[in-house]
Amino acid sequence: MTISHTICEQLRIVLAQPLPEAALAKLIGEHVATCSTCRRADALLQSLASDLQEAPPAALPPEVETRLLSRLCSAEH
Amino acid sequence: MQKPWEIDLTIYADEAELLAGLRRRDRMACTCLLKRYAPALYRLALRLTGEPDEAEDVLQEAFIRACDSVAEFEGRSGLGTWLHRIVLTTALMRLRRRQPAQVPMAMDAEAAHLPQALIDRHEPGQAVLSDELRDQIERALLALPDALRAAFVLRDLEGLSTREAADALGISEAALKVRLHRARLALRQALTLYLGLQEHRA
Repeated sequence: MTISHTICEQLRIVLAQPLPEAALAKLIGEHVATCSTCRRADALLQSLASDLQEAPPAALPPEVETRLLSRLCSAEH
Repeated sequence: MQKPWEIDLTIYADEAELLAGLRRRDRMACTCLLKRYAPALYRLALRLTGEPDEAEDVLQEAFIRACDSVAEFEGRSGLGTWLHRIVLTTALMRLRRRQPAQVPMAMDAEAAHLPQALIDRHEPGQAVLSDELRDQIERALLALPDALRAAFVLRDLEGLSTREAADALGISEAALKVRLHRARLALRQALTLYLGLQEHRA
């Protein structure tokens, strides 16, 4: 796979601009749309996020569950 | 002596029966509800708030709201989806009450590195995260400022549209986009550092 391993300096410059948010969002959008490094990086992160989303949740810490159940029961009665 | 929550969960194995139990205000139904859905919802609350204590408070508030308002639940979605929405709303209300978080204007020098190790290991659609890398991403997520984390969680993890995420956070779509990009860059930075260390160790 060939992809630049360099810093996307241009995006950092864009993000450092003291611009109103709308103008900054427009600049970022334009940049990401044309920058292969950023597009690939965003796609990878979205893939990671998807994996993260689908991962089964870890068990609730027992002490948290006990406190929650106790508080829920107290609140009800 | 048996605690009120030490119950046989199979008594409400069916969602319709669980709902009926909740509507009767059966305490065991509330307990079943929490035991069944709390782990996933705790993760959501933790990702949004970034703090275990606050995530616990969110869950408590959300489950009490759910048990109190179950009569209003119309069954158009599953119970889990309904609860998910309540937890999301509760967590966001808390986030919005916090002091506005500082959103960094510029990223550190290494922020936008795209590590080759990450590319090699996680070509989109191919790899499943290792537990260690998943933990690392979760940690990096929790380390983000509230404003950036919430944007990333809502947009990239919860799958809300830009409009929906912006509305949920009470900000403009433009602000949401900027925060999302900052969040993604910060996560890229964190993963770069982690994978760099891994490579150095190896």
